[in-house]
Amino acid sequence: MRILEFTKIAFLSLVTNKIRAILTMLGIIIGVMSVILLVSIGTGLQSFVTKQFASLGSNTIFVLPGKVDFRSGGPTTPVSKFELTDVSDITRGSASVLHVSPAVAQNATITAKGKTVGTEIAGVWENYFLIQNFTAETGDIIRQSDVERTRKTIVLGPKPATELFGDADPIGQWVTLGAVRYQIKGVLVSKGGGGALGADIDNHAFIPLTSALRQFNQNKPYMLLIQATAPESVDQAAADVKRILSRRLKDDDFTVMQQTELLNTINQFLGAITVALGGIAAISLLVGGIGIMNIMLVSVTERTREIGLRKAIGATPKDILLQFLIEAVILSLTGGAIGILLGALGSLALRSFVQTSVTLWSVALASGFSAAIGIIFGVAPAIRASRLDPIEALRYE
Amino acid sequence: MANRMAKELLRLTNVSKVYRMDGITFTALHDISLTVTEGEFVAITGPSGSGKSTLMHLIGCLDHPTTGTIFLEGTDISRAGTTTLARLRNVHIGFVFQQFHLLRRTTSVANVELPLIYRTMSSRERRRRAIEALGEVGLGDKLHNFPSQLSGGQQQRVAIARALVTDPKILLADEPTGNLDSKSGHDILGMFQNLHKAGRTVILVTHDQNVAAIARRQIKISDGTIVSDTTRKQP
Repeated sequence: MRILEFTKIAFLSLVTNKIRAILTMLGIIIGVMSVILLVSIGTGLQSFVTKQFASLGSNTIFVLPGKVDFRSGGPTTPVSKFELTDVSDITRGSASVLHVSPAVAQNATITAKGKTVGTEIAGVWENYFLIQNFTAETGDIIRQSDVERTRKTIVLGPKPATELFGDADPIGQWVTLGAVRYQIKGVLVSKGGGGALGADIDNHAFIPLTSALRQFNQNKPYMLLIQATAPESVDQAAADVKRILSRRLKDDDFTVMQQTELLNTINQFLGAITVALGGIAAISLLVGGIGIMNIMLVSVTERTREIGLRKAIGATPKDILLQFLIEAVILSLTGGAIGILLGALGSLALRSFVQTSVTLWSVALASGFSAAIGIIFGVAPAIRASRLDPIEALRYE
Repeated sequence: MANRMAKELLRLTNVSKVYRMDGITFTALHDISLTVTEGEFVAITGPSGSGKSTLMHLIGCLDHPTTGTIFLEGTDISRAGTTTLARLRNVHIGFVFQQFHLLRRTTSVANVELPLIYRTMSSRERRRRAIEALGEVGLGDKLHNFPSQLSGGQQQRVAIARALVTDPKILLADEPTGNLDSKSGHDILGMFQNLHKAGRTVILVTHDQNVAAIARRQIKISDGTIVSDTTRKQP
């Protein structure tokens, strides 16, 4: 009952000092807004990556050179020891393996008609397209005959195709890669869901592995991409691959990694980034809290006579404490609510550039945090107010 | 007034108040004893520094005596805690200050309601009593004015309404006319006289002999002791 009364008093006192109240809340507003916004970007990224991986199918296995461990530092640049014979060994040696494609990839620039685009060039087999679920929008994919004859043909992802040729039909056109000319054989169907990241997913081009090895001056494929016969047989296929490669290679010459493993690793990494971003934003909440304390201390000094009067006519120290504490909590909660609103709007606005998603836990965290800040930083000024001596306070000029 | 029997309201016995600051002791009140009965009109006078403010703070339950005892309504308040004193002030004392001490940006009626906020009372009842009290001081038409829209005399009348709204045992006024022109001051004093006639116990603290003259009982303080305590015969 009395709480309600003090809430009313606190509201009145805030309304009479509108500008000051808004400026005080600004710290909390910005803090809560950035927590909501950054966390929404982080979780948005996670769900985007998960979706992308799901579209690639969950029965994919990567074989990379060296010991890859995302958790302990970045991967070194190991020398590949894979041979093309490994591919046939794996295909023959495991009943759980459906397709295998060796691959080599490099970032490079492609030029056509004076226009240049930077993209990732991968040298692959025909199987690569089957494993990755890539189909041609126009033209055709790289076929095994292209690989066997070391043809200078190239299949473009949707992004380099549009950037180089716009609406014109690129099939049969020539592009220059380094000093070598390649004829465009096909353009792939877009996999990106739009937005900045989606465009990156579509930013690639493919040439036959044999041509790529010559182009990049290498003699071994860098990685093997393997598709299991079914999602249930992925574990078996991975074990088979490990066994077959171990016959010829040392244990730390290669790493067999399942798609789901890779997804988990990336998600862990993104999760850590999300938490870190949220944490940094939370520091600004702390600063906002200090702002509230500052203003409340000023307010207590400014209203010394009011406090004196209230005490003289019968307010107990607890009454005064509650009044000022409630005022601080209202400030921080209102700031928190506005921050949540702005953060949600901001993440909505960002959606055309990056995938975002406002999660319940980030909203709950932000509101809990701002309430806690109101109480923590409101206590000191409120205690000071409650301890004022009414005689001294009434004399205060 | 039905109860004309002199009921004891306030009793101070051998009360002293000593302040200690930086090792220096200062005796503000020395061995004061006095009794106030219900319905009295008392003026406490004395020059500044005589100890009359200290005495007012003790009577008003704002401070503790260093030695001696104070009984208010039969209860010993000399060692009561801050919260207890706050409750006693709320129930028994109605303060009127020289500076009015109204809350700015707060209407007359809300100012008068203020003491009742610290009681358990519905907001409707609170509002009703506040309006009634403002009516008693003749400001029934200024309920929603802010202090800045009122004259000094009107502001002091709002303050008196605020003191009366709790129906206190003692009306304690500290230089109530000190900030007013002589005409408003005269009106305010008339109001105290009327309240006394209606049966209220009024204690008036002032340095001004002319103001003190309206009270029937005069207590003069000097250097922390009572130098005279006289009661005029009823006219």
